[in-house]
Amino acid sequence: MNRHTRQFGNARSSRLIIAAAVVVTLLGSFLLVRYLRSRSANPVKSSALPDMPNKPEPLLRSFNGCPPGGDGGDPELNRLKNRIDDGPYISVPFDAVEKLDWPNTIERRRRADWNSGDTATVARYEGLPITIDGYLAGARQEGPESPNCHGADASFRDFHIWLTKTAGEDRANSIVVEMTPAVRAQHRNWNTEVLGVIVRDKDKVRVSGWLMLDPEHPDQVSKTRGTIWEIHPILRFEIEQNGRWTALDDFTP
Amino acid sequence: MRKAIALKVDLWIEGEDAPAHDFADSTKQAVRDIIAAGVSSHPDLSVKIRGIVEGNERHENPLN
Repeated sequence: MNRHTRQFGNARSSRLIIAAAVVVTLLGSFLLVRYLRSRSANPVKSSALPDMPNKPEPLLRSFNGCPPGGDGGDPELNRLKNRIDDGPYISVPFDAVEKLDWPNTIERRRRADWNSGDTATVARYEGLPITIDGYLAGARQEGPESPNCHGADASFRDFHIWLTKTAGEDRANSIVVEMTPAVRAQHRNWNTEVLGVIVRDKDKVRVSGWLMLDPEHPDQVSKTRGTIWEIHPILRFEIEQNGRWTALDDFTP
Repeated sequence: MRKAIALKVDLWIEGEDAPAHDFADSTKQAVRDIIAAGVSSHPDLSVKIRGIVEGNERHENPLN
């Protein structure tokens, strides 16, 4: 084999290696895309939550001039947050919600931009009227937000509450449950001072409301919350006292 | 020496607005206008707004 033939052979080998690398890269990309698509299309698995194909339609009303869709952000999400109807609550284990999956492709996206598969996946559980027992890791008044038309007054703010499975637990595995202005307006004792006492005393609580997926805070999962599934809004809030459940409005520490 | 810096500014804005009017949208534009108006008093600086987003840090705050 002369020098010229060897050089030709080397060039041919190089071309073959490059071609193989391109094929492997293309195949890898194809498989990755297929995996990601199948992941988002997979139904959310949870046998602990009930199936309710015909969920109650949200009852919506303006609150002090603020329409249910709020003043911006995601109007569909805001309407879910601003429902005011009570529901036929079903008691579910804490883990049924905390461990409930969601399609990662919906994260930080407006509902109008979700694909139909993701919308159907989330809709299977979103809007369930549920009750969860737990303990409070904290409660805080939110800042101005689009669902509440960025109202500056305290009466327009949500209460952001961290519900944990066990007393004294960190927020990293909590479920966020929220009291909204329109519902709070119907309860004289729903305030952060009383909630602070419940946090301090590690009282057991029972929270009832609508299961909702908030796609805006996936970055906080395993930090200040365990999941982006929430009970939002809360419609009933009870505290265990002497072995009985007492409504928050009737609660005296 | 030519210098550059990325600054994060935390603003609290209050004002009157119609309930359903997009307050985030209008205040973002107002901030752009305010910065644009102020740049003329510092001709030695080139100021570029890279983005304005509504604050959302409340969820990360440590609990008291």
